[in-house]
Amino acid sequence: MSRTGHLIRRLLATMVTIYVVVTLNFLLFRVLPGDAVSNLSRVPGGSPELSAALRRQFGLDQPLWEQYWIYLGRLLHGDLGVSFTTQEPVGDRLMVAFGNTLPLVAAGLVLALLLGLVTGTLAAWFRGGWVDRLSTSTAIAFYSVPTHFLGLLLILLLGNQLPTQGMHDEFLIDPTWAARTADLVRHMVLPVVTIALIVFGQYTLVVRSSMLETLGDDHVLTARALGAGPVRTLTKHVLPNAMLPITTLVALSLGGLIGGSILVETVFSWPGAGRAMYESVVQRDYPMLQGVFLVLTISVVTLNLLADLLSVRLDPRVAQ
Amino acid sequence: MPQGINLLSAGKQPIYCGSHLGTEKEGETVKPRTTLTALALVGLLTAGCGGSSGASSQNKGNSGSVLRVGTTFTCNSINPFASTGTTCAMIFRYNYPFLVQYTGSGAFEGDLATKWTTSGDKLNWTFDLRPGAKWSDGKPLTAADVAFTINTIVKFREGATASEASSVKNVKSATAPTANQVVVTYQKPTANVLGRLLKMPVLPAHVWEKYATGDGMQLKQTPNPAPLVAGGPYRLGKYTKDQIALMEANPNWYGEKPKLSGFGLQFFTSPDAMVNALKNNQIDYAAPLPITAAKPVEQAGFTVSRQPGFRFHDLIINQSPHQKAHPELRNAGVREAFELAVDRKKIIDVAYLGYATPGSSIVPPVTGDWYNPAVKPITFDPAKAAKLLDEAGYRPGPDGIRVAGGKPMSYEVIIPDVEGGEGERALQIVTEDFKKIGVQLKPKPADNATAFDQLTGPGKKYEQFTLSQWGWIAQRDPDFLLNGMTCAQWGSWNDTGYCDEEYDKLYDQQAAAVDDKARQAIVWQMQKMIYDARPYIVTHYDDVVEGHSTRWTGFGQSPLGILDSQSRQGLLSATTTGS
Repeated sequence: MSRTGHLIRRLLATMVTIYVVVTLNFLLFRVLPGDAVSNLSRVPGGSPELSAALRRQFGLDQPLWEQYWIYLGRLLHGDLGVSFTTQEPVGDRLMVAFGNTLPLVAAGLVLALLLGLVTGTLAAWFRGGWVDRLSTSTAIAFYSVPTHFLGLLLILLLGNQLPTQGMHDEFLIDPTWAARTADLVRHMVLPVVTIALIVFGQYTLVVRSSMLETLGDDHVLTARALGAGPVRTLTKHVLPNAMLPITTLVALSLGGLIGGSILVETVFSWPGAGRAMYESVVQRDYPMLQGVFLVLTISVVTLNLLADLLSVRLDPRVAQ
Repeated sequence: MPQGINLLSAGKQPIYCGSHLGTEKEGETVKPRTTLTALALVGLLTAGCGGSSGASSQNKGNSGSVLRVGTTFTCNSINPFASTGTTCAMIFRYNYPFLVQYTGSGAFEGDLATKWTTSGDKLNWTFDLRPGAKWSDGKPLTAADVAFTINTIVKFREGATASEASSVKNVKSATAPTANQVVVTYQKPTANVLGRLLKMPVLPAHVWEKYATGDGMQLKQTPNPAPLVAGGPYRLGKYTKDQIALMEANPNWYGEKPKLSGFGLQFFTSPDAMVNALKNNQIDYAAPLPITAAKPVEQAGFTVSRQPGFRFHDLIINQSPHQKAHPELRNAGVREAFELAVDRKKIIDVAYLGYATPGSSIVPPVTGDWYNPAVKPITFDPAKAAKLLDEAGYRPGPDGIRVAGGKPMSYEVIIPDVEGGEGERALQIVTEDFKKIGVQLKPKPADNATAFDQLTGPGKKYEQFTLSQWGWIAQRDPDFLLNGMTCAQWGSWNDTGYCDEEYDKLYDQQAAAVDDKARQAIVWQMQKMIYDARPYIVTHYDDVVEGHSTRWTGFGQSPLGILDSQSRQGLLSATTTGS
């Protein structure tokens, strides 16, 4: 199959996936036990009239299929609706939440990638030795630790050195841009390190495995026979060829990380997408839930697509 | 000092510090950033915080400083008609004026109202207001604002303003014959008028009247963004959902100037992170303190306060006639046996580490005269419990589980996540003790919304659930909790399926009893009815446990702690110790 054909096929598959997930998102939250109106009308003095008024306001008094068409229609116009609980446009809240999550996840991912590359490369180069054993067992150990447990452990160990809550010190007086940025970085350290430690293990293992495979290739053996040193061999002949599975893994794990930030954001009270998702589930805030999951879905599907296209770019044999 | 590094000496950035905020002029809105700048400048000049690198409110010992409170109770909205939860209500308590307030002893004292009288037929209540009061934006705060608030809530009480409707129960209308006098007219004599009105924030008519049109839903939909127009001692100057609510002194407040120049509520999702922040001087006060952290925090040199609270926990036994699977639960002997098998002391000692007291009535003892002292918890006696079940004919089967009506006495116990780790441990204790009398309990955890949905079930008939473990936070007046057991509250506040016409009549009687003594007798009778019927087995009352730095003092005692939504006693006297 040609590259163009592959691209068209993947784009079509992506669109169908997004449509199916959009529909599932709509249905899934409505079959959950618990109900947004029950939550909101359960106030002192709450009455059946209040419940009815809220149902009307949220459009929940309409038949399900009609709610579905309204939802799809709004979605096509880029309208994600209004949050049941805060009465703010979902789009605005999502912008803030994802805007807070992305730097956290991106920094965590970069750090994890660096750690994974270094430890994976060392493990592969010194395969079978103590460096290999130390690298792989450390990677597996961190990969197995529950995220919230590691977060709390870091709070206990480093909480007297670094902030453990939120994005900023809210009591700063009119800070300069530099002071505000420095404060943000300080607040990011513990959650970013938590993400990086949890994630880097899988990179270590994939890098090690991929490197081992490449290290045995003829062209690497030839390079070494021609006198290439370890650094040149690794950087020029091994790493570029070993990057294919790593690239795919990074793209795939980024989408998962955004969705999986819920535990890190809960432990560190980080006001991001994960926390917004948690609050929305608890409060049965359907528009917010649909919005969060829609963005997550599109992120994952798009990143999958990108990974796929990148693979084709890096290795045209994939498209065959 | 065991609190860890002093962040200021470690080069931390300047911290919010100062006295009161910059004032507003009519028609102008001061942006938070400008406000903070003004605050900083005034603070630096007046509070001795000195130095461009700043200083914190907590280490200078001046009275014009800002208390940093950490809490795990969030606030979902700063619109009084859309908000839920006590933290939002606490913010409104300090931001808005109220006609009356509770004193530390639970008596009423004037706030915006200086005195009040009632007509002979108890239908008209006249409140004299403080003359010359102003909102934070400089506009006059008058009887017209009070009348507007009451009439708006009355007008939309079946819809948009339902969350505030209980405060104006039976109110026909309110008028403002003069700028300093408001008359509230009731449809019929009503009990606890002051206690009800005490819950109603007086809203600025010039801000809210544009929303009070049509079906009034705009009242509920407006985000009411900070900074708010305030009439209370503080003004909400900054609010970021799930992060911070920053209260600044309101220079136009009619009352005595508070000692704190402001306070901030920082919202934590992890109690452990909050405790750590307290220990490391990132906050000054933690409310509530997890009971597992109370001793370590105290040993680290912090002040830990503990007092009986309004919150209680209960084992719910479904009383709905629609529940068919286990009709034995409607047998009074079975419910008495269940209570005999509840080891309250063990629950308190093991699950709550001693930070609770045995429970009995749905009206806690801290409500004072409303608590019926004759309603006492019965002694743990599993042998007697087993005997009662034997007498009822429910004999153990081959697996040791008793059989009732051909079915094993095995019940799922719905437990919502709000019960927390302590609640789960308490249920484990009850489960083990029930096993000894041949009753099997199977905990069924759920989030709060799911748990309530499972309790009420399809058609709000309470057909399916058998047992649950949950709790309530009571109020100073018993009306709210007594109301929750009425038939009219099925599908809403009623979580037991209990419905008794006699009880409902008594509820209506107490709600109309204007004489406190007469009302007390009815309230006591109702508590006894509930206790005997046992839709709830009240296991224990939580203590309110909070912790704060020793640099602060003067916090008022309250059964709701510092986040008291019904009184300003908690913070108005708070100040730094100077240490």
